[in-house]
Amino acid sequence: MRYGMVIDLKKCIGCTGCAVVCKAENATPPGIVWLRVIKHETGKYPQVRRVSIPLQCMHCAEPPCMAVCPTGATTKRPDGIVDIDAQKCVGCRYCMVACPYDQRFFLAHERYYFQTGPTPFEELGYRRHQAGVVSKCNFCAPRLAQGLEPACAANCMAKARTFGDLDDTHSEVSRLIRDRGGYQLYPELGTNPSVYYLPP
Amino acid sequence: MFDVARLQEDVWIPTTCGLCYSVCALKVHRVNGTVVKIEGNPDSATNRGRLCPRGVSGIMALYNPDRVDVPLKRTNPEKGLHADPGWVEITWEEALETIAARLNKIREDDPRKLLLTGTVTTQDEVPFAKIFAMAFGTPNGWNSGAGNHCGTAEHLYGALLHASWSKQPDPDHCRYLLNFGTASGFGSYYCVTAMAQRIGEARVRGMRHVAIDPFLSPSAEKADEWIPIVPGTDAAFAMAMLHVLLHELNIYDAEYLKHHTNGPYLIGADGLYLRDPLKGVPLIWNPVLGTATPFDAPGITDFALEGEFNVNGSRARPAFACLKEHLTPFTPEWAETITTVPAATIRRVAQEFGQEARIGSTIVLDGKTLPYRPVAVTYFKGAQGHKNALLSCMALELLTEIVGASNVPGGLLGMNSCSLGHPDTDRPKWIPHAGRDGLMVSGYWPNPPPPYPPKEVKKPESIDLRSMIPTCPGSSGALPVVMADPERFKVPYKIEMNFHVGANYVMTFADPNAIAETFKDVFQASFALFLDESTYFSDIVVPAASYLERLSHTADWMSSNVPVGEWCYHVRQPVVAPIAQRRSVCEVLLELVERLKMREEFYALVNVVLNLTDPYRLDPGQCFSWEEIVNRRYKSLFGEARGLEWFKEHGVLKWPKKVEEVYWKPFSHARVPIYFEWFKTLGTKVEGMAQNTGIDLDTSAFQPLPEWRPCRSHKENSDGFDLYAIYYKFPMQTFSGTYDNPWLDEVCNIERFAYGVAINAETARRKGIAEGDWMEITSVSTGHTVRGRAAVTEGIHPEVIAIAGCGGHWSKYLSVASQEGKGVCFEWLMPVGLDNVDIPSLTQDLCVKVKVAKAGAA
Amino acid sequence: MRVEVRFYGFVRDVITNTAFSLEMPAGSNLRDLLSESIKNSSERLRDRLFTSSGDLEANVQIFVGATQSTSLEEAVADGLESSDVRIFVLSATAGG
Repeated sequence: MRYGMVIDLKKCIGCTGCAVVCKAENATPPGIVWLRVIKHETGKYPQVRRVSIPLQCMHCAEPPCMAVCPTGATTKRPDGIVDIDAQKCVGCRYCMVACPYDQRFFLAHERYYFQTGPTPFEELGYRRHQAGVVSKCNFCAPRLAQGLEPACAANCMAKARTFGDLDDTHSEVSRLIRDRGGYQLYPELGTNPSVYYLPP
Repeated sequence: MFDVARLQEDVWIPTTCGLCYSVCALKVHRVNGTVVKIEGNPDSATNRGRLCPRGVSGIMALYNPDRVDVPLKRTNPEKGLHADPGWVEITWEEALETIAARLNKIREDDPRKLLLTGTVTTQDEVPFAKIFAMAFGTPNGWNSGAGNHCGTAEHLYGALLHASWSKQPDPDHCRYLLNFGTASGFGSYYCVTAMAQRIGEARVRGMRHVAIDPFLSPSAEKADEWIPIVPGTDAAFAMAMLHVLLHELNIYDAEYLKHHTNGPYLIGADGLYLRDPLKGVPLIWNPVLGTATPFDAPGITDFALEGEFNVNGSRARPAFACLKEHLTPFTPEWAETITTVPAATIRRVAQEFGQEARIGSTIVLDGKTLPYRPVAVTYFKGAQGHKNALLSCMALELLTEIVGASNVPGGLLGMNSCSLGHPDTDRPKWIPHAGRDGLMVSGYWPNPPPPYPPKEVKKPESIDLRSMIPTCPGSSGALPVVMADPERFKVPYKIEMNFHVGANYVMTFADPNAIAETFKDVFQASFALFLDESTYFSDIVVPAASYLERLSHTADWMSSNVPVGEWCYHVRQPVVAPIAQRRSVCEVLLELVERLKMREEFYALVNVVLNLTDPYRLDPGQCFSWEEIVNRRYKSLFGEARGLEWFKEHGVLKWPKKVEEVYWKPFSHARVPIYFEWFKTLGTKVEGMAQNTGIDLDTSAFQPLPEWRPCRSHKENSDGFDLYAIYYKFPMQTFSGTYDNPWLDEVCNIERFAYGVAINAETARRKGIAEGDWMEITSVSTGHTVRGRAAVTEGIHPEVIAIAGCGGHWSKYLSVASQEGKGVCFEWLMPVGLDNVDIPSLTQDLCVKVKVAKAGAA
Repeated sequence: MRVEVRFYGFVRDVITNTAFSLEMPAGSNLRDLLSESIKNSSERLRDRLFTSSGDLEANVQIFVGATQSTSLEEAVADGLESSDVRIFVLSATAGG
């Protein structure tokens, strides 16, 4: 069993719904943006292409972050999810330097979205976050434990995301990668991400 | 996720989003009294469990400390865009007493002096407030979006051609989507989340999407082909396509035109119908009998669409022939000089469109054989918001009509034209039907009566010219003009009070300076979520409950259901009790009704407008709570068993749509116009009334056939003002109202277009502007300058700059929105004035010529 | 026959009294009733109710008792001693 996410760039409309629902689901504080959407443009007027590309932790099978973590806070679960144990993290941020995808985030100190202090949502939600440690997408592991998909996949209004078991050749994710030419970002680095993209 | 041991409450409440007018169904997670997650309701047939970024972000709107929490009154008598009102807290009692006293005074003096300003994002509070305004006795109201964010002429054609407020391409069967600048399926227009899914599925199915758009917008990015175009010239493109279809390719749906349009109606030398001398109905030429007969005579087997005939000494041609001849000079070569789109491209698109329309083909759905015309032409604010709105929308709509792709499988579908009602109650029911001269009348219209047959032209009675110009289907772009100078328009009163429900009209109409000048002397009572720019003109502000804090009587409306699939009605119930002293606007309205002793009239109008049936009608002998009224509304529609309690528990009620509801055109005897004869007669009447009343009005655009007429921006040659400025909608914000949401702000900060100004790379280079540079953008029309950061891109017409959404807030009470760099307020560039309005539809012109320079440049 | 007449909506600027009784001869129809109402209140009401050709304006709805009427030629009452007619002048106050 190896969890993977396939993002169909043909379907993705760059609405950032996934970025916002990730924030809502995981109650990430300001500046901690586990999921974000960038745009990439090619061509010259009027033959122009602009593609929206959602980015998140790639849950690499060969995670460079894990290799450099001095405390063993970053580990890889048997299901492929690269996880961070906040209790062990000392905030050295070596992992952030090592990650070629720039998908790890450091919470320097407790911050709220409004200057007046935490909203009731933040009071509850920020208990899950610790200042002085690094955090990132965890494929919504608590949701998985309840038999739910990651929030981004469940909410995507273009149905651009498919989540499943990469080790199962009959799974939808495996089929999409095979049939639609799914690819990884920076494959030459040997990180072997679990997040695949389908061509736009 | 949560420490289960500490949980006392963990519930999911079905309700409805209120951050735009798509009103998607929600399930909201509340844990120990705190809202912790908003998700789409998977039971909903519209959004099917998914949400746009705004829908998901609603938690930060609920708990935003900038929210108005207590009633306020101003202490600073000076009103101005930047004049702090000097708010002090008052009690609800004082607020309501003050408001009621003012209302009473006005009602006794002249109720017309009350204006209702609403917002389109709530489909409950404002419609209910409309009933209040009616009972009060005023005709005056507008939704601020009428200025810059809404459709006007587009909705008129919705009524005339589709029996609906708006329309969508058939997501199940469309094969060729010709999209003139809309964002439908890409984060805006109606049914945002629902259509994003369905248009996405259609793309995967193989639907080709051709986007005609000045900017490579979020929608154009997903198109198979992007065709850049000069803003406000879409009609020229459409007319050239019509020319190619009729003059070069000979492609048109003759059978559709003969039986479902006024194409066969005979037009005389005066441009009007030839009418039967006895019955007065329009005549057609029966080619089998070689004679003219009334269009509705029994036994007609064929109708002439072309030719010239002698009818009792008059020369006449069928309307279709008039249209065809009219289009003769409008070639792709002609259009190229206006649009900058190569003639060859226009010709090719016309060919593709005409062929893909598959005229003559059929499809069997639900056992019924129906015409199959898998092409759809969509347009909305961008193509419509121009000085030439009536005539340009006409051209765009005619593309659909000429190939018979109107309200048939694969084509353009009204949203929602025909409702036969729930199987148990046959309600709500509305069906398009034939009216005067056999032309279609909408079965339902949010502002009765529907635009056809047109109301008689009367002298100005309201503050918006609509009594004189009945072809304005909704809010009028002329309202602030008339309000500023009622004497000029012979309106015998001035607005003294603005009953203001939510709209940020100061920012979202046009030049805020001009709006401020008009509204500063008006007593304004505002129901507000935030102290936005418009509340700077309020005398009293009371805290409104947001959608997560209130009950609605209608979380749905004509355009909240997708045209296909299932009908879906859902409830909006509070997830949390109103925080602080916030109150539901509808509840407050009921209290005002009691204070003003208006119950009898108000209930009588509620019964009529909400169409309550016995035994659910409101009896004025009793005082009903808001809950009870909502309950009665649901029961009137869906029966005794499905009142409010049922909806609170189940969340949604859905049932399958019938083929004759979705693809209603082949089942209908009503005809639609392809020659807008009555525009001509109406124009003459408006001209006459204007002259009699002593108002100077240019009525030359009341024409029966399409034209492209330049906007001011197309004729503007002032030195240095060489670029067109447009704005566009994008999925991360709704109008101006969501900019204070920090989650949305965070995602907008990541990607450069959201808060920036898109400018063509070569144009930027010529002007010495680099990516991220601050630019100063000056409007030739208003003289105002706005600042925005350059988002340099190849994906925009070289003569255009594009601003996303409605940012650039300045209210000091918006801690997130009013920081520098959070978008640009496009409206500073747009003038207020009758010259900036399409007279026949009262649509605002939103393209404007600007000068662009790097900020600080000499 | 006694008819209780009630006007609602966009009328208060043209008539001061929106509720009154009229004594109508037997066989009167709604057109008669409206004419009588105008006489009873103000000529300015005519413009609000009728087009120049004498048709009922499209935004005016009339209810005899609980039933909406479809024609001005309908009887004011059907053999009853008294009747109650409500006239709604709807105004489209907002849209968008």
